[in-house]
Amino acid sequence: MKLRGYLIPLRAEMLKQHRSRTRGKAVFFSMLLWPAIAFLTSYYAMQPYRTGEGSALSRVIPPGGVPLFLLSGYLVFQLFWTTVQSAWLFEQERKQGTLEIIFMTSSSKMAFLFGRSLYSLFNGIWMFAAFSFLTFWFVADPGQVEWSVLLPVIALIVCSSVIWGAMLSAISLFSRDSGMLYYIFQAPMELFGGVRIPPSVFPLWAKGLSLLFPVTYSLNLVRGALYGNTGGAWIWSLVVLIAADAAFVWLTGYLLALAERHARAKGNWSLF
Amino acid sequence: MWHTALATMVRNQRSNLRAYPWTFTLGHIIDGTYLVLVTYFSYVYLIQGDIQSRFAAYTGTSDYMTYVIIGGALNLFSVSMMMNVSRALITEWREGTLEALLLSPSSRFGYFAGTAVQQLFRSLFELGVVLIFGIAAGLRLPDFDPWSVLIGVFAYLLSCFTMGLLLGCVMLYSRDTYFVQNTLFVLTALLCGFQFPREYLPEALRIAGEVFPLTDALELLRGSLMTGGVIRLSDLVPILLMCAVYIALALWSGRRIERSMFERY
Repeated sequence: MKLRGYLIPLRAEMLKQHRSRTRGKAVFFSMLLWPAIAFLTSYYAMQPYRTGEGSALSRVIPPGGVPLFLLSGYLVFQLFWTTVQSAWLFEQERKQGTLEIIFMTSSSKMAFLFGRSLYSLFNGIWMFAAFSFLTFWFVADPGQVEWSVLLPVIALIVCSSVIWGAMLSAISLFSRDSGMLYYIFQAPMELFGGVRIPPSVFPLWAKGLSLLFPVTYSLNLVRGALYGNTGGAWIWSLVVLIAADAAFVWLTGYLLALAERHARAKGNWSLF
Repeated sequence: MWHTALATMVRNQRSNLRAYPWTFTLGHIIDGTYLVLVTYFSYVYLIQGDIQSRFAAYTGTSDYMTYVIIGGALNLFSVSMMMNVSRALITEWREGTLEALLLSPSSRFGYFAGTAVQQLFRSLFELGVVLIFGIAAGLRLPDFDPWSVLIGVFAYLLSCFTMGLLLGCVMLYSRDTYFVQNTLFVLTALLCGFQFPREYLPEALRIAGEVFPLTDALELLRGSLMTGGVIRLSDLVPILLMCAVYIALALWSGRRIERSMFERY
């Protein structure tokens, strides 16, 4: 019974998001065209670098491996970015007054946050994921890839991104202006998460920053599986990512309770 | 025309300072700084200065950092200019002042010129902040030709302005700013050669880049900044012609779209 009470609001929130966010053909642009063109731009931006035997680049990225490296980077980045967007759009719930209505019902608020994040993921990723897998097939060496590791790892990353998005949504409960999320998470997540440059070459301070984003660990996992390199560091990333997921779920619930208690005390949802 | 331009300039300056001071400015500065940072990280940590010899053959310089930082800063500047000019009319529409504007006998070109000059200050401020980061990261201009740079800047400004005008028409027609502007900006980032010489692109994409006056203007301006290339009048002619086509197209279609706006709704 308890699971049912969780799944109904989850499904309801996804349906609600679907109805309010579907914008016809325009979705095509944000789903496929922009990420794909950004990927192409980064690819050509790396063309002037010297590759091949003895070059500085070949120490970090295997010769001829630039497309695969960038593609895995953009796929994982895009997974996390779609759920950041759900939190970014959270301010609309406040402006339109739907947040109050949801909190007055007896449904699970956790289910509400996860529903938002999950829908955002489905809505934003399937086209680019299809594009990425097709390209993977052509640029990767399918024999070298450890598929039995890669597929579970991607499933784990999908879960992590949903959890990450739900937590950011919970943070947005405290402020009307979630537009700042865009500035904090778009560019820094791409740079320090290692989408274009592997964090292993960073100086110490940047390595420290990169540890803050789940994108970093997720990329370690994916690239490890792609290059058949699943050693000690790889296991560490796996452990950290799973531990972080558990912590984020707990934090989401805690933030929700905090926001709700605050609202009860003040009798008002306009917190700030 | 001059009265309209001046009046628009003063009005926009006031409303900007009062109503929307920071969001876009801050966003542009962060984006531009990010481009500089990515370049710096790639060049210093990832490849440790290891650049193909083909790069120098294509660009006439081996200073990769300066090449990309100038590109990044000018990309930021063009996005900021185009966005500010193109959104002018649709903002009027959203705020409810478009009807009053259309009923008045003021010059439309003057209106856009005023908007552009006012927004130039904001874009220059953003450019300045990013250039400070750029210089810290290794932007160096040992030999440039001041006169040519001035002419190049003029051509670059004109290209941004005319592209913004046409973009504004598309926005007004489609009632959308988000998808239209972002699609254009990802395309210019790929096709105009901000981050890499266009010779690396496949033939078809290189030709597609020629559609924008920005492409040629960028090449002229960067050339005169980096290698002291002298800009001749004959280099300017294609850019000026293309800008004239853009302006004519924008004014013509703009008038038709305005006329249909109130009949449709």
